Amino acid sequence: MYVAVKGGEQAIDAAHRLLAEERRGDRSVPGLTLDQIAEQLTLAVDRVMNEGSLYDRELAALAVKQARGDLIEAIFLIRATRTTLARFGYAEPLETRSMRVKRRVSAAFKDIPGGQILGPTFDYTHRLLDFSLVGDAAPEPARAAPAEVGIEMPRVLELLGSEGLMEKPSTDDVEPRDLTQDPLNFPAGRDLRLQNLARGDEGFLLALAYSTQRGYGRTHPFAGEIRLGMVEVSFTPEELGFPVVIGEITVTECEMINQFKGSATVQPQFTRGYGLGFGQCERKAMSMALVDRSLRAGELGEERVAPAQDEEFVMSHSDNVQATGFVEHLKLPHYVDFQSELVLLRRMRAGIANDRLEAAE
Amino acid sequence: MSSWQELDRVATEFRSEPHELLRSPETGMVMLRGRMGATGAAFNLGEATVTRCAVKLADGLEGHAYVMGRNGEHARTAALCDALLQRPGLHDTIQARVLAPLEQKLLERDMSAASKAAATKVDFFTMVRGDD
Amino acid sequence: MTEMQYPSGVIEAAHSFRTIMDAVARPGRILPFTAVPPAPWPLWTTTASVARTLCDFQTPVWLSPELCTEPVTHYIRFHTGAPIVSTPEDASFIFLQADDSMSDLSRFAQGTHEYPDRSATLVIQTASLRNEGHVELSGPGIPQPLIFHAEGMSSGFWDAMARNHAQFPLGVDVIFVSPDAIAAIPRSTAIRLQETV
Repeated sequence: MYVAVKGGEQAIDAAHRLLAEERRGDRSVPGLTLDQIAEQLTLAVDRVMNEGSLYDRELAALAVKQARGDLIEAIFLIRATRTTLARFGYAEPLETRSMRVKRRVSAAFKDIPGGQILGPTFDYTHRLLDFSLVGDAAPEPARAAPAEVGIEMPRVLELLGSEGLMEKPSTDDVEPRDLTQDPLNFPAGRDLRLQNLARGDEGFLLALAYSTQRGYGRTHPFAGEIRLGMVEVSFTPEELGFPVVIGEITVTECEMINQFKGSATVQPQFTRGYGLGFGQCERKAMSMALVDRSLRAGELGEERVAPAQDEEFVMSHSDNVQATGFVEHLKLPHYVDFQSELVLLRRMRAGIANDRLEAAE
Repeated sequence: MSSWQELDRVATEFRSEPHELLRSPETGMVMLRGRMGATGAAFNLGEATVTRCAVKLADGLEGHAYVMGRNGEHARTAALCDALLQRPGLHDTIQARVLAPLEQKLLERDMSAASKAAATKVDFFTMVRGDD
Repeated sequence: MTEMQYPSGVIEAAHSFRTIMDAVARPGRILPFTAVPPAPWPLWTTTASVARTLCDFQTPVWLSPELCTEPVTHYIRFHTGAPIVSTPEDASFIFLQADDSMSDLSRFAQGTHEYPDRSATLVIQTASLRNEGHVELSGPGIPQPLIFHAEGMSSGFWDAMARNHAQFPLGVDVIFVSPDAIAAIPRSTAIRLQETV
């Protein structure tokens, strides 16, 4: 029960002023610019865009600054901003096949057409703190090598598909459902699950993905292909009636190859899980692909025994804005609820004391 | 797709073309979509900010623009170029003075990114096992 | 950094939304409704304002044959982004000219018991609206039974409206628009035809 309480207005005002001062920190240190955040804290910005579910680097950078680097708070700010904007419509699906690839690796095959391109990755760093970054020394420029643009890189999973070894994704072109528009009902379907995972909390998905590897709903995964790069965004305005390229975005994509499956009528073949996210978000995309595959348990006739296979559990707890709202609301006044419990507890104890007294007599 | 700075630089001379706003620049969102397993059925991925604008020139030609981001001047200039491209005497000029340089810029940018990525391509060499 | 560019008509839309909301909340009450945007004939500016306020890309629109002209479809598409459909049963918004032959509402989306909101809203252009005549309205939002008249609607239409109310919570909602006023009769309103003497 909530009871409106008046008062504390001045205290709140002063708290906001104090927050602003703490946010700014030591005024003798130069203030952060949005450009600095967008250009140098790139992956924080990417995470805010992903989980805020809004691709806009500048707004995400502002949110990171306003939230003092608290990314869940920044995500909250972006979600709130979303609600002030009208939606013009749905874009055409991104064609990651024509991605201009910055990074592309496969852990399933060594030799893949187009090659293994490492790109800007932390993978082979030694995780030793680099004290050259204490100052502002310019790094050495990136190396360049002969390259072509405009060539499509074949997909690793399609190579397997052509041999019939890989399940084909369903291509029925039904209008996908949208969890920002319709109430969520279970069973949800893979379209809604992927949308939910795409905006889901990275930490939550990472933990779930990890649990599947440790035996809680095991799917025996291989990273079939991971890609990072730029794709075009195409949109068909109602008044024009034809698709227009309105910009381009960076995305990370992960295609997992999983445990094979067959039946009396179908030859055994590999199954798959899929992850896609805004910006450079490899950990998130991989976790998403693992959880996507686990959530397909029902469809693939697997017994559902682990949390990562439970659609309702995963989808109801993946959103960190919802989660933080419910957890953090506990610090708001619950004076009346608590008073009633206190009264109840006192009465119970008094009752027990009375009973004892009567029993003793 | 080009950045506003680049469009601004090449389109300056055409921005003085008199026009009325059929729709003044307004920012909204478009829901982006992916495909399950990259090639399968579509799903909703998340939104992006988009700004649109529509203009009408004195001779009645209309221009429309939808551009990602929140820059109203970008959308307006793009809509203006769209309208001017339809004017028979001006089509080739806009093509040559605005579109071609922007395409060139994009190509250079893509080329630079592709060659930096190419430098990180792995060259495998097979090691021969000793116990064979 | 670029600030947000909100649509220029956003204030008008808010006013117009408020008026439409009041009209639906107080069925049969005739509210003055003025509209700023010009609109292509035969769409009235008031009707156009309703369309711009309520329709978007997720609300398919069906236009009756007399309203379905090229300038009107272009206008609706451009200003609302709504798709124009050729089958009335698929539309969320139905735009009609008042027509005394109209006596069937069942061909429009009625909603489902799970989602009664998935029903059509009819926007009917009528020459005038008056609180007189022989149609009596009562129900939620109507403190005292109210007499209502929309020019061009026959008793066959009001019989259909009574049947529409009978299947509540399913059914359509109706917004009447005159050149300078608006009134609404949602499905919650009971209709009684008074005996004409």
